[in-house]
Amino acid sequence: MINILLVTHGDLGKELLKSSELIIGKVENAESISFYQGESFETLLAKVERIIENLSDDELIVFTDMYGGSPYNAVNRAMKNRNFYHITGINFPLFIDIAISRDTYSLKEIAEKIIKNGKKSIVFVNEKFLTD
Amino acid sequence: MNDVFIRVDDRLLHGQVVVSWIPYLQAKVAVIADDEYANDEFMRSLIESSGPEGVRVHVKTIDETAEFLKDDRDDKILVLLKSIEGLNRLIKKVRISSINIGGLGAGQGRKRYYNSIHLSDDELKILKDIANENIVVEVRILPKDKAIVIKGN
Repeated sequence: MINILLVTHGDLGKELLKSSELIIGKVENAESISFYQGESFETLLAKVERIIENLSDDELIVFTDMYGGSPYNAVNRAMKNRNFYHITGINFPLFIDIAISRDTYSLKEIAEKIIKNGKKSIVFVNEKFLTD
Repeated sequence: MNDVFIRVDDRLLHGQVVVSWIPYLQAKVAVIADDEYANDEFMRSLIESSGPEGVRVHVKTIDETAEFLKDDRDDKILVLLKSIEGLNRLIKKVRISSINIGGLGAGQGRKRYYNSIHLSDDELKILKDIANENIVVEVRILPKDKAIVIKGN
């Protein structure tokens, strides 16, 4: 099964994982790393590298919360040592979508799905009511 | 003299900088002044390709950064350094009027100075020496924070 790793500012990733279980039940083969205020970048990087190393040899998809942020930077750096997909700007529906489609799609198909569905997951609701 | 903002932040280009500082400064150029990254092909291309929209990111050695700052440029430049040691080398090579200390994690021999800023005794001494040179040394994490000015001896 494709591994999932979330690396985020604070407990966003940890809670994203927990919250998604309300909808899809236990999410297997998924880990999260929280980056806290005052923690050094080196500590974060060491954590990311250690956890990535401990994950199974199956394929890996890593999510970070924001382009250009420290979790994003740390994960990018870890790409030097292992091949994986890195997607930044994760949100709740997108995460759920990927967590459930891991079994049926290839990593490449998932990445394409993310780009397509990610944008669709943000909706200006007022406008949608007007046009529907 | 170029319009330059110098910041010491061991996380270099990251959330606080991208979301708050760059728009606040209206910086169009960001220079990561770091010998290690400048000499690491992988890291250099990674950082240079991860800049926010509308900002050119360069990764340069401290020496290259000093040269870069000596040339006249129209755009506002943000210089990011990982360490006080690097800062100390840079200010000896190029004239700077003020510096910002924005983020230094806890580490060997460091004590908490303010919030997420940690300094060793040696680092604090270097900053005081810099302040003695009539350079304004401010500790400020985000633009909206009140600056704490480190005074010379």
